[in-house]
Amino acid sequence: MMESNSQDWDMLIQKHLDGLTTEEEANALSARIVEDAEVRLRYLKAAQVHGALADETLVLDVESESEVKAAAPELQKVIGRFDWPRQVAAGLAAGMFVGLLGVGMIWAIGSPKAEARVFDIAHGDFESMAEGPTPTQFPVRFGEWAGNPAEVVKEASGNKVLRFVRTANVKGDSDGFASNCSVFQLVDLSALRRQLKVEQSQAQYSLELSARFRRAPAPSDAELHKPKASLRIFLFNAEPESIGEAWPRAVQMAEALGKKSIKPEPGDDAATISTSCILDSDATVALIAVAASAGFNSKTSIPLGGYFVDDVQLTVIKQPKLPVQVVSR
Amino acid sequence: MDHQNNHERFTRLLLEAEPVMLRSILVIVPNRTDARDILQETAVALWRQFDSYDPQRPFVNWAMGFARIETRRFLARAQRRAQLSEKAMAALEREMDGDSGFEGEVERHLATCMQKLGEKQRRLIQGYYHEGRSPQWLAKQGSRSVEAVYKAIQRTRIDLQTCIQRQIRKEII
Repeated sequence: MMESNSQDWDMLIQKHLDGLTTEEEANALSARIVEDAEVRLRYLKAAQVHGALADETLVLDVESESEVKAAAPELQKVIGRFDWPRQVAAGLAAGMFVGLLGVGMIWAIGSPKAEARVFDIAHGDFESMAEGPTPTQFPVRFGEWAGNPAEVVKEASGNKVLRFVRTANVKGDSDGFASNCSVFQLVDLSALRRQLKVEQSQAQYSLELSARFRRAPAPSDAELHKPKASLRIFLFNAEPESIGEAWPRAVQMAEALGKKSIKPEPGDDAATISTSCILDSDATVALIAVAASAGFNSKTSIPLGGYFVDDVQLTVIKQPKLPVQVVSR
Repeated sequence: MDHQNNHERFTRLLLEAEPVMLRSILVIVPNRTDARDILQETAVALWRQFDSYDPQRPFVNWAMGFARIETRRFLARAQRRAQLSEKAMAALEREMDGDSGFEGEVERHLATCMQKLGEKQRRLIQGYYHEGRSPQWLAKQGSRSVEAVYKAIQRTRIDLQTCIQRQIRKEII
């Protein structure tokens, strides 16, 4: 055992996690954990995966996302798929509304090989929105911010931002988790895909979502354990209203997804984070979500205090197709 | 009334801290039934001492001290399974206190990585973890040996761990 390689240690660690090690093996593993930082770290990582799987209440950024079971056949009935003509029609109507048909687009060259096209998603900077609460429901239309309790507020500088007010369960499920405050927007992709000719293109497209988060000190800070702000993007081939109907199980049907989070301290400078996913699927709708979470699982609503988000932006990045696909389902 | 308020406050704080406590206990005592027993004992100890809790401190930090004591008590009593040595447990706890940040990453990427599993692997993990099926039951259902089920679960966990690490690297790049 002393001369074993890391794979052998991994298997022994796994064996121990299932309670199958002998006294002798447990002693050997113990000695190695004490003397070898690498094995110690490997043990911790394996145990944390085991712990996360064993924790049935683990909330994976979205309330009850972890409860989503592999119920694909049932879900297919819930999420209706567009036929092609309806994709185009819906894309034309909604794309014009959201501004995805070319208005306000800026091309930027990030490198000789990549090009970035920035979209002004609807109310991404919140400036054109009225001050006050956003709708507390899952959005059903393209181009509106809605979700858990949040409000548009004006800062002393006159800049408008979105404040996350409190955590809640967006579906109003009294048995569901209310661990985060997520505010969503549905973005139409069909018009964009047609314009970019994604299907025929020799290039690879990805969508990058970015936003700037800030956390100000608040009286409720002591109540929060490792609170975090997060950004998520899900791509669906579905009718927009069906995503809300099937939420959070709809996550299981996402064609692609990207997530990013940060844990800002009260009073830290504002920080911009981004996440991306590849647009090579037949996705017709992007669901974007900005969120602040309490950092622990809770079925009761928790005030979030001073969490703010601003400058939510969606960028399409075009680059030559690579022989190896970096992101996939 | 005060007692009632105190109890409600305790219940709320405990509910919020439980997942973190459970996952930390599972590092030292991987058996889920045992870990939940320890969690139960910890909850009783916490309630007994709740008057001494300083609300200025995060509840979870206070509670974790109790969880460690109850874990040691449990291990002193239980002889059913081979255990890690005291030195190894202390080394792991020190490492956890240092917080490599991986726990947060697991939380963040587990859903994505679960989706990347094959259907059989996902069903196995759901049966073992979420439905609480025994490896014996799973073996019978899948017409294979118990040992093969354990091996499959272990390989799947390694796959998930690798996937999570890959997701982290991808973000760094």
